[in-house]
Amino acid sequence: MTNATPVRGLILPDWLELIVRFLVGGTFVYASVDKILHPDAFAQAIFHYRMLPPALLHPTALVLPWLELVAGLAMILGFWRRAAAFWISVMLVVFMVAIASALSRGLDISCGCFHTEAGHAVGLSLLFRDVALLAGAVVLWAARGVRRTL
Amino acid sequence: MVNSRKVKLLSAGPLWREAPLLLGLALVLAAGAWFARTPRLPLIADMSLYEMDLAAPVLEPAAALAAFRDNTHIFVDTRAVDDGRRIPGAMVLRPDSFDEDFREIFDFLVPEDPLILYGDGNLLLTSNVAQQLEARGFTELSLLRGDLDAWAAAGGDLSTEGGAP
Repeated sequence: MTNATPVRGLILPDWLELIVRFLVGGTFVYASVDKILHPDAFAQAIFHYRMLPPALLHPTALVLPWLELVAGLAMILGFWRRAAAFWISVMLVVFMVAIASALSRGLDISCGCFHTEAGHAVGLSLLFRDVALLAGAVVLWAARGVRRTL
Repeated sequence: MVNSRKVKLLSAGPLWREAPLLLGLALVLAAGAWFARTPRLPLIADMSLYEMDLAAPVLEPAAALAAFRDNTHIFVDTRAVDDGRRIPGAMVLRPDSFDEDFREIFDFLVPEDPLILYGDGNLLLTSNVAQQLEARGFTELSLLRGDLDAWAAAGGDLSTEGGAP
């Protein structure tokens, strides 16, 4: 019981939980850095999706990277882990909707995921990556019982 | 007592309590970073600037003035016509003689320098100069909204001598 976390009746080994936490949390921490340093360029990247009204464009560019950083760090360090997994899941769903919407409209834009300057172009591979991350976040969100911090 | 409270706050709790706390922490950090950063990104976006697809973000005169007073940025005059006025210390890079002007100031700039470009109010012309600087490796570029009259109206100083160098 001390080296495993029950997940809805299934046992998630500690080592696996730790790997998922580092993968998901680390991805979000890494993704946040460039956006925090260059909010103007990130706003430009968000604008290219043409989904947000003017009143929300800059507030989103300012807050979203910090939410990524805080949620990613919380996920890695193990505090407020369910909340971190919840927000990461919410963000991933929003990202997937934005990517799917851009793809359906035929927009040839940079995703703005990790680097604001020369990012990965929006494509199906990004959707698959986000689905994989979402699966990890949902597993951690659903995890109950034993809780450990680093 | 304090430690046990801290441990209780950081330890597992109901999602309805943890999730707003985490969002609140992100909001506080974002607000702090926004406040500490100069120049600040305006909270309401001017979409016409995004539609123009400019090569660099646009700064309001007040934000540029703050950068000028903090001495954090180098100003670059991109006006094609020189009327003798200039933001003190500004370097000159005219669109029609970019290469020649760039050679003159090359020794005084490094690509990491944060630059604020200003012109006669036409952002697209100023953006063209920014694009050429970007091609030479400059990444920290901003465009001043408005002309020198807007700068002066915001309280900015103007010199009537030649630019630097």
